[in-house]
Amino acid sequence: MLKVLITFLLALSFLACTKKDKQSGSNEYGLKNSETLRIVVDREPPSLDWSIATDTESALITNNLMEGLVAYNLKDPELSLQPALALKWTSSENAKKWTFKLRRGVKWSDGVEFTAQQIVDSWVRLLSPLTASEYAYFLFGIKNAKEFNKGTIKDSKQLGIKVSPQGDIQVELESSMSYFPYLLTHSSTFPIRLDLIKKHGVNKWTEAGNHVGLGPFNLKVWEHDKVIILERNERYYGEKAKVKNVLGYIVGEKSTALNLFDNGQVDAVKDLPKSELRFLAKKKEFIKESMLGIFYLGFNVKKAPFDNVLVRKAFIHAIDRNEIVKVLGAGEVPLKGWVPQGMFGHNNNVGLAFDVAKAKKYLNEAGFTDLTKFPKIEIGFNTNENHQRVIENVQAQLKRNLGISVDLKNEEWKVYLNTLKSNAPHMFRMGWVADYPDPDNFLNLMTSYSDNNHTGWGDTQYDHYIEEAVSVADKSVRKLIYQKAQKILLEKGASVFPTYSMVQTHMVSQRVKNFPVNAVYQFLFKDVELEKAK
Amino acid sequence: MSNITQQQIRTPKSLWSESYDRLKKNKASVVSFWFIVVICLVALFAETLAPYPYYEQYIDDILASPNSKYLLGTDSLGRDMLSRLIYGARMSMAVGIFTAIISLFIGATYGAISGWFGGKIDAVLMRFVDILYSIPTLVLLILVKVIFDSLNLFEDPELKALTGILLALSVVGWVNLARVVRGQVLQVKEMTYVEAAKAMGASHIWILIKHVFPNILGPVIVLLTFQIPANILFESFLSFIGLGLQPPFSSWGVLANEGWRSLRSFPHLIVSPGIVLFLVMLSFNLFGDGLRDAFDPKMKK
Repeated sequence: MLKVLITFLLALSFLACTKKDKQSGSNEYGLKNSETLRIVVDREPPSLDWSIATDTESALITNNLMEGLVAYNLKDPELSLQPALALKWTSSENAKKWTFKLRRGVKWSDGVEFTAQQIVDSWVRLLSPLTASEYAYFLFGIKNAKEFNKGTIKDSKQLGIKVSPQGDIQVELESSMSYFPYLLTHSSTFPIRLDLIKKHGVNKWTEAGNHVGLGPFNLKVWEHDKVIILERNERYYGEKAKVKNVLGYIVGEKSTALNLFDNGQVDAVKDLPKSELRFLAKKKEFIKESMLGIFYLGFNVKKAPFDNVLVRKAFIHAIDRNEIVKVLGAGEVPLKGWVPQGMFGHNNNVGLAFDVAKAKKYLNEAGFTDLTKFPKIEIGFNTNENHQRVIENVQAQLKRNLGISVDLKNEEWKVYLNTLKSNAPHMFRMGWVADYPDPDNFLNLMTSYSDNNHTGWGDTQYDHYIEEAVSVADKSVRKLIYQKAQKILLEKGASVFPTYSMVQTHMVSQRVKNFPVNAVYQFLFKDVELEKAK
Repeated sequence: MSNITQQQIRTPKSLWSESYDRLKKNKASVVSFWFIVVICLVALFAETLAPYPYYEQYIDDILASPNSKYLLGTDSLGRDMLSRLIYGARMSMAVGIFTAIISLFIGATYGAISGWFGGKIDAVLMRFVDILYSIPTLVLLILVKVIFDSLNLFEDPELKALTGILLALSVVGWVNLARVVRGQVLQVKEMTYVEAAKAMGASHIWILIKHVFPNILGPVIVLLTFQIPANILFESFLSFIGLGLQPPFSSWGVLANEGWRSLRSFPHLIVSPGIVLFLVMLSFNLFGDGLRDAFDPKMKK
């Protein structure tokens, strides 16, 4: 009898652990919940090496561990720049030469002084063909950078990057580039410590314990595929972070993440699953914000039948973007052009619209008169329930509108990226979120030399327009050039199918103040404050 | 002696008809049996019964709750849940039953050879079974499925997915049957009627087919009725981890998987496949119980 009673009481006491206890007590890692912001990291970051990482989760962590020369003023809706490691910057010769005056006396989290050479090291490493970084094109504006990346120039001294006798960074560009400082908000341009990479090795220097940063937080724990813990960096030069720890649970399944949220075990869940939006949007913790990102489908133009531009056009004409947006239901905006809504250069008058009759006509012209005999094609996507929903809808639309059945293939993110690089499927899903708020960031993706262009498509005229546009200071002129470039990409080449402009939706606990949501998708946690549980 | 009436003399009955009589008396088994028959019929006539095509997306009615237009509501792509459930029956039942038949064929042959010939053959064959048995089922399942998928034997995606699952489950399923059959054969081969057949000069195959199999069928059939629901569950599981059917095909496993994701917000997506899965499992188990009691009345006592 006593046994039964004890069991019963134990069970009761477990039930009695309410949300409030979980906000005030401490968690399994011994961190006090009252001073720990607990978030969900959507997948294991492929790499915390900021010269190499390309995905949002790696960026989320790195942006809190590191800082660059300049930073966004996130309080400004137009996202102006504010000083970070550089105190001020000036340009000369029509924005062709730039000088960045560095902050003095800044120390890395291991006490080593921050120097201009570390910036140079990072940029040379980013551009080096040995690093093979997908973001190398980021600095292609710098003099001789493209040649250095190709390997035709071997000596990094010939790059347009110099340290002045006063210890400032001097950059010489190939041509004028008025938005150059914006590039330096991006993690791939952050200073780097070659001595640490040498000491720990290329794969190990980003592990907890080895990792050293300049940002408001330090990497305390990284249990792979499980958890990442950041701890306030007391050596940070600026205003110290308000929360002591950031605890990131690596949870791929959104419903699991939301259960953790409902239980009060995490404070924020990013990017809500679309299937639950209609339900979650009614809650007081729901947050919605537009973002500079696009979702698109790419065609592998090296693979039949998509080596034929008519077939590509036909497929684009056969898919109704409005239907996809309806399926998602979070207020996404159908996108015909290549530049997301909310950015200059956004234009929904270029590109190919939904038109089944035209689609059938093009397929006929391409020689596919009997669509039941259309070759087997495969659409690839990375495992994610939101993507799956879109791709399943595309599959249904192609079946309904053209009578063509397609196979779907999903892969885990890291594997998927490798597949895209080595042997992209006939059609594949991809997305892009702005690294810097300029159309160049989006149009650059599809240049023939971009490592993020998995379509195999290239057009010299297009490349030319993109290069021309960055040297023009006048926004209205640039807009015209970008319009012409988009016409080539979307109407002549038809190698991509821009689908929609993204929105972001999050659940954030009421105890979190100043949770960072912004159009550039930078989650900087240093200003976050936690209210005491009442 | 003299007052024995005609009725009291039991007309001799075969094992089969006696078992049938016992089974009939078990109400739960009979109800279960008819339920399974109905589900099989639903699976067969899915086209006529389903109110909508299982793949058609009604974009304006996404995630509708059960109503008069969609009796069980719609899923996150606006597809009718009732239709998907009906078509799901086809996949799930096909997987359950065909896998059982394939594993029966492999397992019975293997077990019979092993048990009948005994000696070194038995030792070798059974060690192989032991090895398979020691590999975790899940690992084996995934391995077979992945290898089969990479072979690309079929053009038709539905056929490809189905055969892949059938193969994977059969590879795992026959091991159990082989063991049971071997045990039974070992027992039966010592019987006098087998000895008699041997003495008459009958061949091995003749004896196995004519004398051994009929006498071990009882336990094997019972085992099968337990294997079928296990297979259906395994298919659900494969779909659950993304190795089962590819969209837009539907099976109860796929539905349960999709429903579970939005369990928090839209419970109608999990309730109907959940209930159907539960009832079918229950029916197969009750029917299997009834069969076992019918074939082996001693066990009940």
